[in-house]
Amino acid sequence: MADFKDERAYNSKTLTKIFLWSSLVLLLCVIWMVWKDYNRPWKNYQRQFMQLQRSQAVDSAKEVVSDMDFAKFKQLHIDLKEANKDLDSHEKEISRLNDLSAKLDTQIFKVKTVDYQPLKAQLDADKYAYSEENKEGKDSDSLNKKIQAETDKANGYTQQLFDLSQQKAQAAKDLADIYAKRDEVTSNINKMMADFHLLKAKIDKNSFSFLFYFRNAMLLDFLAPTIQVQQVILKNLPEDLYFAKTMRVDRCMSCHQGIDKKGFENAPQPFRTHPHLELYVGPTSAHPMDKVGCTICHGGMGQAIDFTTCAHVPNDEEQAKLWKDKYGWEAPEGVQSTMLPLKYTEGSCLKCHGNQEFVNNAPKLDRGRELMVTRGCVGCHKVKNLEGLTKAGPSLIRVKGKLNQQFVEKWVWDPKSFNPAARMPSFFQQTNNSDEEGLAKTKAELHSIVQYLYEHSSGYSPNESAPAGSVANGKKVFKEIGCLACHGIDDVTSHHADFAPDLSGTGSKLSAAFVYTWIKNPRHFNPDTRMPVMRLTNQEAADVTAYLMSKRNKTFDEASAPQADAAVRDDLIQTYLKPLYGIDGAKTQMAAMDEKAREQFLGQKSLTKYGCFGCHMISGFETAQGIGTELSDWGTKQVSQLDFGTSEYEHTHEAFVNAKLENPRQFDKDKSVAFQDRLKMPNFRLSPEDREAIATAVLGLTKTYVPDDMIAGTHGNGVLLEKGRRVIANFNCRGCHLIEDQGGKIREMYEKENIDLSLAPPNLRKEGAKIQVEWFHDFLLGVHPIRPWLHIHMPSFHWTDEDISNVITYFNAKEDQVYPFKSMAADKLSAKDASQTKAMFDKLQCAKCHIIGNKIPADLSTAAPDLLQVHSRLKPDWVAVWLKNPDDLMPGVRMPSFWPQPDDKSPVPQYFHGNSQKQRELLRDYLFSLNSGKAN
Amino acid sequence: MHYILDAIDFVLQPWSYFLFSVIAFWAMIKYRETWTEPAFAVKLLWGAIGAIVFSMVYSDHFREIASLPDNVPIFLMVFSVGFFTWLSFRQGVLNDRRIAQGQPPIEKETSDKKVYVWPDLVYVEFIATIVGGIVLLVWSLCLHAPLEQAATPAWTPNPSKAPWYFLGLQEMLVYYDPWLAGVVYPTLILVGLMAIPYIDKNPKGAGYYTFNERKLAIIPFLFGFFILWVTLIFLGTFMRGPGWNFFGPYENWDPHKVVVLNNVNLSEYIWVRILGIGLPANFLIREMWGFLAVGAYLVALPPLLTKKIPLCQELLEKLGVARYGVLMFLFLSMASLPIKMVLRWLINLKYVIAIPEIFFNI
Repeated sequence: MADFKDERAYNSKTLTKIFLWSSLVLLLCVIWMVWKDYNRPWKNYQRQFMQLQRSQAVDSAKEVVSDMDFAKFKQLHIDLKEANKDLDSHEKEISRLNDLSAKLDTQIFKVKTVDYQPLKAQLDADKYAYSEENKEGKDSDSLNKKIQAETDKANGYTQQLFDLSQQKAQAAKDLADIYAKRDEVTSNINKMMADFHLLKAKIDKNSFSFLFYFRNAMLLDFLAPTIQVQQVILKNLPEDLYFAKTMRVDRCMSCHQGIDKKGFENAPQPFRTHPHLELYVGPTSAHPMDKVGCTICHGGMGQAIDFTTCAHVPNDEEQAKLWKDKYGWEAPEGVQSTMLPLKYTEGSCLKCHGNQEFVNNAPKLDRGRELMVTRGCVGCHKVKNLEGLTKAGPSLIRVKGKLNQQFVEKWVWDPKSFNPAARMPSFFQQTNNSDEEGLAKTKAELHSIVQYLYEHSSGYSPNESAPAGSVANGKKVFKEIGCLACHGIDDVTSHHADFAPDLSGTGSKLSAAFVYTWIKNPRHFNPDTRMPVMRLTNQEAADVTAYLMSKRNKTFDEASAPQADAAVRDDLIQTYLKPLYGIDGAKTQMAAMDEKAREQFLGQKSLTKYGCFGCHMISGFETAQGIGTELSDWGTKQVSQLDFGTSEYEHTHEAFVNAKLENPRQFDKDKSVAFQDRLKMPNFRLSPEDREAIATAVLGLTKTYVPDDMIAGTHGNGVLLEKGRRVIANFNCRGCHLIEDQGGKIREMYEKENIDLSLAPPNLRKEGAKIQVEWFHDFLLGVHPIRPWLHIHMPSFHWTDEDISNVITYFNAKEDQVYPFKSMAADKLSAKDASQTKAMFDKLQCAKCHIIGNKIPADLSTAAPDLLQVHSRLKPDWVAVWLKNPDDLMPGVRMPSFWPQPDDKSPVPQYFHGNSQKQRELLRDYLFSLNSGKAN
Repeated sequence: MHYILDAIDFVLQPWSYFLFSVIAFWAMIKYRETWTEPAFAVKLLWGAIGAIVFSMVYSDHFREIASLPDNVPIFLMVFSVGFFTWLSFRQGVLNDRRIAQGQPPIEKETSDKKVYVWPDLVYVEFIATIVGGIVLLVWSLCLHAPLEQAATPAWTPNPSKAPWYFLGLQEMLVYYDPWLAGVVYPTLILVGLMAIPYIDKNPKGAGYYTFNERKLAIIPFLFGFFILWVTLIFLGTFMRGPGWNFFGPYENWDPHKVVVLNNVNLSEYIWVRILGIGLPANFLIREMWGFLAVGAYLVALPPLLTKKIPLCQELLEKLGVARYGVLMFLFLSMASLPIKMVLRWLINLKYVIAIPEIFFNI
């Protein structure tokens, strides 16, 4: 052992040095590791939010203090002092009462624990022994006696206890009397300081005390930290991990601390309050945080608590840049669910509200869904909940009798050259079929399509020819009567509806006889049309016809239809025949066809190829299925399944749907694709706003598990509401009326042209509570004017019984009316009441505005509906409520509020002792007594 | 600069990559005297670093792939394999020179010196543990674990890659079915490595580095390790993209890339293309040529080789029939991979034996 030294391989001093330094570095690395684990952004956010809350509370406290009545505060303190002084003078009495109370306590304790309780235990034991002896048939008399004696004794103790506690209560009361004055003052001071104390507690809670630092210190924060991850667990809304469903856990509020708290509306992110607390997140809202959470609507990784890993997605480039600089954001990768950019969030409503015709609080989504139906997206693409609807385009079953062939060819070739606002999308002259081959082939296809349509069309001729009319008056009638609620026209710029075709250029399209017949009775041409009858006089109809016929598109008239080449057509036919018959067979097959058969063959194939029947009724295609991809869960389709072609877009759903809507054919660019395999989706020429709306509706189509009871419109009143809403959407009721406070789109024209809004179609708020069912039914079947001073007409729709029933049920269900939707009948007035009520009625000058039978008010500009209709039209329950405060039920209504709220002070105190409620009820009864026979 | 990158992408194909690897391997053996010189080795090291820096700077795609946290070990592997190969060759070359001059190997000079376990060995090991700990800590703190999203049956990640150390195996899947490439060959590799001490009776090279005395052991081993393992890992990492298609190291991974894959079975070659008759219905008859070929390769070839190649004759005499048989079986199994690769490239051979009816394809 002695000569170890010489045999060492290494110098041990050097080794020790290396050991020392490497150990130190390891220690540093361990500290680094612990620090990295400890130092998380969400913790800093929670600290910042504490500061924010604290400074807010401090401000409020300052405000409270400055608002405080110091004189009163001082006075209270002086009172307190005096009360205390007063107490001093009762010192002896107080100490006596306190002593007495203490003595009584001792006695009560003694009687209870020393005397009563042991005796009670013995008594219970004896009772048990007694029952045992009786069971065994032994003599139990002595025991019975003992029990009797014990019971008597126990009763004695109970009485004693009762007396003692009575004495004690008396002592306490005496004491309280002495203290009464001081207690009152103290409670007043506390009341005055309540707000301040609350704020003080809040300030203390959000202060960085030693305890705070201790509880949240590194390595100690496993004990009882105040800075914690916050989360909601949503058992009802599991996340689908493909092989298993797991609970959804949302931790967003770990950073978004102010999301459910009022008062942080202008705070910097991530602390801002939710912008719609009344609808979302708030505990009393329809979507409380603990039931719905965050990610079901916003998407993203709920469990993550870091800016990037929770998969934030920016609205646009600008925000992306901002986030990169501020949070070091990176585009999410390898995550289940990315957040929907904020501008598309409304799409998520579909997860639960997909059954609904409209969602109301999601205007962009509603617009997108409406466009998907009216523009015909759903004609080709199957979309859950948007199936079996009326086709977007006109029926072509009788096209031969409506349009000439030249027109149809030019129109389909380039719809916007006829009318820039045309809804018909452009199939031809697009980026992937405008090469020489594409143009030649599409012209051949177009020609054959039109040949097919005319061959399969049945004939039609209008049954009336149009009398001469005035263009100027026609223009006026067209604008005033309500055509603009559904149709657009280039003469009117203040409002452009796109529910029905834009009518600019009608003169270049239709014959006067057709237009005249159509206006008078649209169902003469198409029995299935939704176009209503406007009840025009013959002259009005002739004027409107003259006006529409004057709208011509000269350039379009003069243009010639595209010329198809028969050789190209035959080539195309070959491509269809070859797979079936081989090259030679295809030639023989085609040789057997004459010109007409060839046109029909290619026409039929091309209609199938472009899916025209998705929007139009076409003979021979009654049962054909849409040709587009199903979109029902497109939002959760894998991005890798989307073909971006050679484009440079970022590979996201948002980018794809936007690009596709802007130019549907662009992903064919740079590709070598045979003509018949090229992309076929037509260009809808949508505005950026409409594209965003449709993108919102499509991105919201996802495959997400939501329990049945959370899906709206499938249970209870929801089912009834949806049936009615579907009718309302199908007939565009909201083009004129405000329903559920949405729609009334034509009001835009009134607003922009400064026309009195009270001349606009009525708001149908609370209609179910207001209108009697029988009247409603009769009105919908046979519309007649209620407000004759309005220019705009309620049209006569061709509604089925089912439609009417659904609409009436809808309005009543909406107001929670109970089947059969009746109201209490109005009372009959006694003769005495009747005369007084009549006097009151006159005093209130009701007849100044309201029509009463043939008594028309002098000033028609402020006219109001006929009061003779009240008894048959309105529900009595509603009238009394209406009289109380019309403006509350219908904001902006012209009817004045005679009984000013909330005081409810009668304007006519001389009647019925000024009892407002009674006045209104009698007035109501009076109104219901009015009818054509007995009007006085 | 992109011309150079494009040219490299153009030149590199599976077959040319393999060819270049084999040439480099041959050069490594042949010019071992030259490249084991430290000065030359340093130039090689700089060359390798330069190539990587060049690729990182001029190719966004390469930089993106190379900087993925799960690809970091590849660079550790490349440099550590390079260094230790150099070290062993350097020692071997020096010893070979000494042996040629009649001197004992270098190791002889220190072999009678004692080194104590405590403190020398244990202390050094302990320090190594600490340093290793530091490296792992820093590594895990600086680079995030490359976790991916939850698995879904509806969508497979593309490319779907094994952990980096299995990429050599995954590359074999291109040429052989999973039961072979994923089960039989890995088992043979393990068993074969275990069997080496029992097959090898050569006492030379024990306790010291040498090349000349152990050529026969070193060359096949390094061929298997370098060409069939390490370079395939490199290829799998940088040159296999979406759809397991081959991409140049600087070529963008386009998931929609379309390549020609017209592979033909041996049975079809013989029955249809050579004999001009259809495939027999009975699969045993249909695949008889394949069975013959495989049988000849594994059973007839080893005895035949002893007749034709003196080296094999020598081996048989030295090792005895059993050892020779096992050695040849292992060697031929290993050789079957490059053979299949070459056949695939030359004649688009899909399977030698193809019986999809019972999932038996070779």
